[in-house]
Amino acid sequence: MTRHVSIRTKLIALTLLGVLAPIWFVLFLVGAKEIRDIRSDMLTSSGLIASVVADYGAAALAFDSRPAAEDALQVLAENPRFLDATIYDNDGKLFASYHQDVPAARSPPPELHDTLSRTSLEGDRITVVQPIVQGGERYGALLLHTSVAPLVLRIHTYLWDLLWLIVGVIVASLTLAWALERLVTRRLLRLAEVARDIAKHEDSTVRADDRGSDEIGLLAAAFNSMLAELAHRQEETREAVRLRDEFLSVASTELRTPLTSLKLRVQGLIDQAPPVANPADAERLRKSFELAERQVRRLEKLVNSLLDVARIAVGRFPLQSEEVDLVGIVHGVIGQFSAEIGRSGVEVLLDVPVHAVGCWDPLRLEQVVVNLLSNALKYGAGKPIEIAVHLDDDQASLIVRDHGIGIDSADQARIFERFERAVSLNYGGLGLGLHITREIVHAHGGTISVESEPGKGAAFIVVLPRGLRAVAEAGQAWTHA
Amino acid sequence: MDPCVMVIDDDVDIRETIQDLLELRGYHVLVAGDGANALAELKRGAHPQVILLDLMMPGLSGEDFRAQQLADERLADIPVVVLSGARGVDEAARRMGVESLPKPVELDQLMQTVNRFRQR
Repeated sequence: MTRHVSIRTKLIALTLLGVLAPIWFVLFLVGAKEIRDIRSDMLTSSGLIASVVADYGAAALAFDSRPAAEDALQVLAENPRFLDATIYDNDGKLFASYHQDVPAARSPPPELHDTLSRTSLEGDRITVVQPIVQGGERYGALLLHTSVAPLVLRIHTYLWDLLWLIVGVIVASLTLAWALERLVTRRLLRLAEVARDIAKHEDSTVRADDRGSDEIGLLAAAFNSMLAELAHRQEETREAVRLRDEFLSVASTELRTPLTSLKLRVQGLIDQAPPVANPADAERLRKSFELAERQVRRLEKLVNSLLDVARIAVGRFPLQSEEVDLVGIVHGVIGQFSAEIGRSGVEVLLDVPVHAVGCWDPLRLEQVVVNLLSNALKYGAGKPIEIAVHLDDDQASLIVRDHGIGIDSADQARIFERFERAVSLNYGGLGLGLHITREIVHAHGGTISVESEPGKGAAFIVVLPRGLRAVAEAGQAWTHA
Repeated sequence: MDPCVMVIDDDVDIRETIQDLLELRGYHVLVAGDGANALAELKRGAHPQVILLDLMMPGLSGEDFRAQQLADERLADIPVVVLSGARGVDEAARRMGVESLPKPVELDQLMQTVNRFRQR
């Protein structure tokens, strides 16, 4: 739970607790002792004063001189803490009295006949009963009341001092906590800020500037060496990617040279095949030429994919857009695939308007349709394939749906990445088709998404901005291709 | 006289393939393995209707050849078609002010292009 409390708060709490707890304890002990001492002092001093006054009073009582007794009591007027004092004779009769404000009680207290002096704290006053004795003979008793106001005053003063001390301690603790926080948390927060910066700007050349040799300094140093390692690995990865892209580019260019002469030779042979007398031989020769040309085209597609990927990698993917009809392209591609569709016996269902005109790169758009249709044929398990084109004022969408093996939801995000495939290597191919398709769609400002359930097929949905204000074409109907 | 085409390409198979195909279709074909040999041949008086030019060649590259051809007023008017599999062939052709055919070219496309210059 304390993990969610900031270090700053923890430091303040700990400092306050650490400083206040002993102070409370000490103050409590000292305060209690102080108050006890003051109380005891006051009781003792009241007893002493009473015994002195009693000594004076003894002579007055012995000679029955009331004025002498009153003179003796008058000494007490000098100090306001003596509230009143009364001298009684042995019969308990009032002999002389002194009082500050209120007249003293007339009835003598029962302890007057005690032979020992007695001092007690009762309510807000100290009462002293002091027997008046001289030469072993008891003449009477003195009753003295002393105020405890000085004690209360001392306690008040003490409490105020205590309050100021606590305020001072809290201020000091906060200052200390703030200083500690500056020492510890600011540096940690700065480290966290550097980590955030790196994540945000993907710049691993940034370093934490903490040069301390304490624990936080060690953390910062470990953090920096981790960053250096990260940057090194990143650089290695970038270099590997660069080498791969360079290789792709060189390979695709180099492959083109033999492919060019091979393709021209094969096409030249088909164009001007020598006459063969035997019909069976002629048929075999025709099949050989057909196969050779098909394989050359296949090779060419692979090489083109490599070049496209190399172009995408270096961000050079220029479009040559013009006004084209997506529906025309779809029909054209189905035409290209007619032999394959015929061989596999797959039914291709079309749901397209008459035209769907937009401003697109015709060759690239054809590549999109080719890639999606060849995937549908490859993974469609021989079940019908549906191709739909929908059109509205601003955009056109192309949906290619098969009912084949489908794509697991975990694989759906990565199938658009380079060299990725959702299926095993048994299916063949470079794993570039959907990556190139996505890049073409993105280059046109469009989007591509997939909806699929394993075993139930997949639908690829391409949405392209039309890039022009075209007249919406109506009249969609399912037709057989 | 037969219409004449010059093929400049460092790959001997491509040179011979195009030579054979064009000769079968009634063209006279001159071949050169690099830009320097081609320039020498042209300076000796050959004047083809069109030159099919590769870009990446040892010695004088396609672009350098084109620059030197344009510098010689007797040769400057010979049209050039870039025929290359190099990356950025379209951009290079645009820079040189000529048209381009990307390798691997279709036979039909090659013949259409060459025929166009024959009719001029």
